[in-house]
Amino acid sequence: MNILETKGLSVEFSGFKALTDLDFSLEEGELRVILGPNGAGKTTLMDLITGKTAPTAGTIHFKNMNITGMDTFRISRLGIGRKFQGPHLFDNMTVEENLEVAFQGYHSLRKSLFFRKTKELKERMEEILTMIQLQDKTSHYAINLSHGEKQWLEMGMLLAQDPELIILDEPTTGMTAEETHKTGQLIENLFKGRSIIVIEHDMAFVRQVARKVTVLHQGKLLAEGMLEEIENDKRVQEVYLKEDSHA
Amino acid sequence: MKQLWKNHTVSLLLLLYLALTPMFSNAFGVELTGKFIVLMIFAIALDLVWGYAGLLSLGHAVFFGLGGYMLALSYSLQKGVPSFMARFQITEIPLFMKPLTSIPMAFVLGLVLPSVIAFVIGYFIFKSKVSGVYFSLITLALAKLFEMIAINNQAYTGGFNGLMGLPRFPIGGKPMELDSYYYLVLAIAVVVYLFAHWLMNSRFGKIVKSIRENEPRIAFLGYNVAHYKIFVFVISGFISGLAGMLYVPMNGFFSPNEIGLALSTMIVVYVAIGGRGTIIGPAIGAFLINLLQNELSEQYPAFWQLLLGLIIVLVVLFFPKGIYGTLQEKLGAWLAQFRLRREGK
Repeated sequence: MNILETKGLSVEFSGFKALTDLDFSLEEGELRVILGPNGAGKTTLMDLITGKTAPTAGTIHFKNMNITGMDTFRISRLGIGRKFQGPHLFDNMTVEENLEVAFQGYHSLRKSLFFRKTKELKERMEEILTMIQLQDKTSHYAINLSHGEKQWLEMGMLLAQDPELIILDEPTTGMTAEETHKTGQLIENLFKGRSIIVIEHDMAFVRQVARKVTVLHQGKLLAEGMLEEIENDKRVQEVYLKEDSHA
Repeated sequence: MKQLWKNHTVSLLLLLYLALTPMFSNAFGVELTGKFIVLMIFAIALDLVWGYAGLLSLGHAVFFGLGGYMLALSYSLQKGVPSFMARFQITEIPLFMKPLTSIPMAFVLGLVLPSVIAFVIGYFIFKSKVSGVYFSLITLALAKLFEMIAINNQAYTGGFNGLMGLPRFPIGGKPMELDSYYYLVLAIAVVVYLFAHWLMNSRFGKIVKSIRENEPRIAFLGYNVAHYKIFVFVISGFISGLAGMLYVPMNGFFSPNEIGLALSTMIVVYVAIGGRGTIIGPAIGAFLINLLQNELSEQYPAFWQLLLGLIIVLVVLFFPKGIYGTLQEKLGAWLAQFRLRREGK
């Protein structure tokens, strides 16, 4: 079953076609890597799925529900979580507070006012803190964490949010090779069973996690298939693998 | 108990000082300190909006003034048509002011009206996703607008001169004693402080803080940011209205100064000097600056404003997070180091 499906998705920013007529689908439980040079429309696609931008044409279905043009917070409540390119935390709040606001199910004003941490929630918090190896830094401010720790805290927030579909926008930017590898493992272990879309440039990382790959180019679908097929695809090599030096 | 002392040391010391003030101060001193306490409540109200949600309101006196005017007008109407109205050949209290002839009704209106106005402003601003400096500019314009309304409708508001000769909370016809009224204001200040503390340490408070820290991000976690902003703005409007009403009997008169730009800016300064997002910080800021203002204007009547301005600039330079905020940070770091060293040995 497809968890996510877009049909004829297009978006234009004052004449510039960021995405044109894109048909994209993701199976439940699948991990998909999206490749493409800068300006290919990768982040735009993620903005459309999460409701940050509204499409000019086309539809997006999530779990057979039409979410086209819905507000970001509504889409998030349906079960789509997103990690941005680079750390995007609540800087002057502690690690614990960052995780706490990420927990789902207490979105309304009333619930947030009379919220009490249940035992299950506390246990879950401990569990997540251990998984992202920040259990000794619960009261540290997010701004004082190292770059890698920040990225992992974001992963932890995704776990707390507990979405069915996870979107990771370049999760390894600015990481060392070792950190990148560790992040790859983290993604495979922590998010097992969830559907994941990863945007990534780092080919070592892509080889580590990828099965099926989608390549975008100038807002259009260029190729889709297993990683080996894609790597040997002539068109892909032309536009991306060779031309783009930072891959 | 120990926990209470540890978390609220400064607040408790300040409370002790304020509670003892009437015992070794003359009537003038008590009245003055009472006014400071009212401004401390007001500063806490702005801290919720600016310190926690990151929304710099440059027109918060609108809510303070609305509350104050409700009660002040009500007092003025107690003995029939007041003189400022009679001057405009008004012989009967106009229909729309009739509700204000009842003091309890005016009191309710003084809380409800600022909250409703805050809701309406908040609804249109936050639903339309206006933020940052544009929010500040709109609130700034509102402060000027309300100030002009108060000045230009002399027949109904007393105009530029404001409303004078207001009594001190006449319960059953007799005005309250100064000391008892002082303690009433102090008690309300404590309640407001505790409420603000509870609110900002609840999950709601954490979400409000995360709006300040990273507004785009919090929507991706499923929160309707507009609802949270509107709610915190309304709460702040309510508390500001309350402060405005408490100010009336303490001050004895109420003028357009208390609804317009001057007070709106001063309260922003109090919060900045005391320390944004700390609740007690803004209260301390309000207290210290007023104390200083009072001392300086007595000692140096010619150039006290210059000195006050200089001190404010220095504080902003050397205490970027406000007096309380910076001390808390420095002291916290020092204490942590101290503890580490002791554990190390």
